[in-house]
Amino acid sequence: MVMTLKIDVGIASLSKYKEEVCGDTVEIVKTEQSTTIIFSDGLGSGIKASILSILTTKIASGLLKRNVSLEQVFETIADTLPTCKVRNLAYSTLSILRIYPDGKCHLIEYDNPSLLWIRKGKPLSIKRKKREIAGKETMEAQFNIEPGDLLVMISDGVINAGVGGLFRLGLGYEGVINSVLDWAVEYDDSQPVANRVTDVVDACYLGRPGDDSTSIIITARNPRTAILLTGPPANPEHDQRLVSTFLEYKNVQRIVCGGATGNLVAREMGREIKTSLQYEDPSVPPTATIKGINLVTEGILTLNKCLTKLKNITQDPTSETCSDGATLLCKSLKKADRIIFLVGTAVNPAHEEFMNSLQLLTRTEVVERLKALLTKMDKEVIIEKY
Amino acid sequence: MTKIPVKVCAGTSCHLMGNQEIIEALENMPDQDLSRIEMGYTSCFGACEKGPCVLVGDKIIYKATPEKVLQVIKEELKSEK
Repeated sequence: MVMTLKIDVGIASLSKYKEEVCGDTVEIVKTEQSTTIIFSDGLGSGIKASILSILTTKIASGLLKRNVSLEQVFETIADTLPTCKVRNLAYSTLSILRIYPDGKCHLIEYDNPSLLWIRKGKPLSIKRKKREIAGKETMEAQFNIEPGDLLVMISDGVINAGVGGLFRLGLGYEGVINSVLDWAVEYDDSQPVANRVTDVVDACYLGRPGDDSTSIIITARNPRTAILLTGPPANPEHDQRLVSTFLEYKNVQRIVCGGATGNLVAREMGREIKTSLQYEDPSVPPTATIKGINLVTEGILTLNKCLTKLKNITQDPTSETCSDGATLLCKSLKKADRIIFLVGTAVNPAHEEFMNSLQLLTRTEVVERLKALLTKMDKEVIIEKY
Repeated sequence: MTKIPVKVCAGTSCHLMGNQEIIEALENMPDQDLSRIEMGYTSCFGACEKGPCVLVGDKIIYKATPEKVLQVIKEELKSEK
């Protein structure tokens, strides 16, 4: 069977002390065929370094989007960007890592610290070969990753963190691996791990980073599917069929949105539904629990609120710390790669009056809007109506 | 002594019809009465047009108000004594 790996990338950067901008730049090019991470560290620091690294990554990503091979991308950049006459160094470093859905990886590194590969808490070695591309000595590697593997791409500012201060020789590869492992156990997401590594680096520099420092945490995982059931079916005779469809999917996050829907699922499963006592956000009714279902929330209000939250979630990541039904629903939808909405179309006459006065979207409308938004977030969304 | 279950519906309609005012009124009951009830939310009763709905013991109160609910609880507590 062909494996379809999903790649999560977390990026965190620190600018050199007293610099306004970071001289490291990361670009990610996601296509159906592959995920490519391009990382460049501009020579020196500040705006000059930033412009150089942006230029390098933008050229690379532009070419990669046009299906140019990694070698040709490297060649173009090596030919385009001159070396500094004073220091006899290239103006910027470059790493390009291309990951295919079957786990195959192609890596080319030029002047950056080596990519780290961690599997089940242990570092694995990547067999690299020297390769000259356009007169530049690069390191190239081909290897295969599996779900659960972790790759760490870092700038030299991370490796050298604390040099001559807290550590004689800086944080080093071992220090980085230890920090990553400490946090990777705690989080199943790449971004918080990247943030934590950067925190460690900042601490090593005693809050005054001696260089731009960037850590990129790349995790490989199996695709996640969420199935969301909302609303009873138009024909009550279809109750059982709808719940059976909802339950027949394996290895998925199961979500139920709606009071009557929750009762329906609990009844068909022969299980109890328990409503929480927490009214964390007064505008969102409390969640409930049914054994075997990952999330049970109220319907219309929660779905409408979730739509608003999902729109703003990138602008306000702190809102994700709340645990009301709408936020939990947002988190679950954001986490999934594929979402199946099973929408019951029964109309609750008691809802109709306040739907208009409160300008709420109907169940079908809100699900359609969620689909549009989630599709924009690169998720596969399927809607089935009952 | 067994506690009297008091379950306030947390469904969409009941939420919008003021179920939180009822919970607030219950929370402000005198301690000696509060300790004799088991307060909580429950999922939809399926009587949305008659909300907010509250279950006190085995009685469902439709179109419930804090006063109505407190009155029924008072009566239930009396009969329990």
